[in-house]
Amino acid sequence: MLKLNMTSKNWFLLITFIFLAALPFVATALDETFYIGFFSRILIYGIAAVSLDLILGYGGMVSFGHAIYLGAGAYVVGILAYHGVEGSAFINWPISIMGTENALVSWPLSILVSALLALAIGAISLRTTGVYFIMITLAFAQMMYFFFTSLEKYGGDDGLSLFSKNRVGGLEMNSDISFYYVCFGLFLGFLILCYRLVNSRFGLVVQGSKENDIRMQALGFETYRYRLTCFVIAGAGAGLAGALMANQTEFVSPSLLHWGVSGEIMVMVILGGVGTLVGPAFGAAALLILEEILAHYTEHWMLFLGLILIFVVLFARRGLYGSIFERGAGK
Amino acid sequence: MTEPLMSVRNLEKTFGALKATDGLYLDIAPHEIHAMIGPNGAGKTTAIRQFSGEYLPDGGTIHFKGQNITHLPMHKRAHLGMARSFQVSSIFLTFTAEDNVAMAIQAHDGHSFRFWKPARTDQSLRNPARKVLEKVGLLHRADIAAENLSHGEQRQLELAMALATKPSLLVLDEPMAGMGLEDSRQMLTLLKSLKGQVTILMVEHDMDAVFKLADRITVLVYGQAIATDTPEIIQNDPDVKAAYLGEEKTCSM
Repeated sequence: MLKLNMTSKNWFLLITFIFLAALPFVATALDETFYIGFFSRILIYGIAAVSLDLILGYGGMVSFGHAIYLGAGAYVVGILAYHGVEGSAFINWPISIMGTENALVSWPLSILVSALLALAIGAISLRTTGVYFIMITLAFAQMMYFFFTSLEKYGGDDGLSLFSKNRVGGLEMNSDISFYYVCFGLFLGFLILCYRLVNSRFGLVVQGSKENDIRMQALGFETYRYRLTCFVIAGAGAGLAGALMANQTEFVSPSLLHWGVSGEIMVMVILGGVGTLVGPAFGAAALLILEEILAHYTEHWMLFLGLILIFVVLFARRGLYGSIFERGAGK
Repeated sequence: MTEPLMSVRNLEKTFGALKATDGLYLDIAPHEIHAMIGPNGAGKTTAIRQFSGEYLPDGGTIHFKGQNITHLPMHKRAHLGMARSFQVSSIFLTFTAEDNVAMAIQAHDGHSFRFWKPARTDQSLRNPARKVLEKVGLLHRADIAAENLSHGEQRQLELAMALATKPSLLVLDEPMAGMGLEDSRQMLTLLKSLKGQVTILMVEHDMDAVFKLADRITVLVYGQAIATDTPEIIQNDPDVKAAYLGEEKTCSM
């Protein structure tokens, strides 16, 4: 990080950083505060897409159930806030978990719950590969979707509205600007964490296993454990994104766990560039901005999105970001 | 004979109706170069896969360093000191040559649940990796992505990765497969230089190389070892001639 040589890629990243850092002020000055919320959403989806890229791009694990962890993270925030407002406990036995609207409690819990779910689902799914892996993760996604649909107490199909955004300790977070910066900070933190991760010994094992699992085992790696750990980290990241999402919309519902959302996150990864880490975050931005613009003109915007996606897959294999900035790079 | 490094007893492996390994017995003595030869379909690769743990046998036992490893997973055998090269080069193509060998070093340098420090600048992995590359004559190609190496170089890299784990038994599946004359000669010299340092069990079709390198040869036919002896005796064994060398005229190898 210290020896930055200013390639066009680094200029691009720096400009993006400055843009994102200045966005709330510019938007306020221009009286376009809608964009503060909109870009919070992009950053949140960015976290989810980066987390999926960890397993998809670096681990070769094509999970079609990544929305599970997003939804679970969101529901943890929603359910705890519901009990927090009511002043009741979520559960009393074996330990008492009181409802809370404190982000310092509920967000780590979102991460933890999503990580545990990923551990259970990954432990089973990772015994398969290829198309079976896709199918089994999809099956889990459907199960979780219907599980949350059946939670009548928490709104069932209709979902659950939050009374307000979470507090951070004693600080209110009800200004869009402060929430935006929380998202921005967590996004950057998560991105840096992932960069370190994929270049660490752990990251190389996961990438080696993607390329040739048998060879890795023959070298002496018990690859299953590393792949599972990677799967859990990705789930935890998506859980954090879910917690933020619940706060951004102040609403959680089973639609967050729908397999279409898993597909959407995957599209973001492919659009931005599989295995480029920051690329999928740009993919998230591209998708959401396109959606916003196209939806302005036509309700059939999905059609145009489909065309763009076909173009990317056919002519820009490494995605929008990857094709421009990581061409020919070995990773 | 001293205690064998690896001993295989009555090994059996069936695929459907095919008995690929049919009561195989084999002893590998410490520090020898042991070649396994046999006509196509004799079950050489199947046998090797059972030794390394890629396949689990249906019957029989494999002992390595006195320990029963018949059902031990692959990664544990690697840690006991068994390294393997593959018939089709199994290197990590997008990684550089040095990355590839460093990966092998890393596999034997404690666990890899290390999430923060960049591995590609970790000199405790890179230095030994370069030493091994030097040994196989690939140091000048260290920074080249493996996919851009020539076929011969890829085979050398494959061997370098196996050597990097400092194995006590090197299992080589056709180290010279697909090599040109010059590359084969280089590989032959390299393998010769390892003689006495590490025990080698190799499957190889290049008979010239086998007879030049091997201390002992085992002939495999229909999943069984029909003879194990020194190259001179094997060359003149009538059974072997009938079963194997005679076929050389009819099927090209």
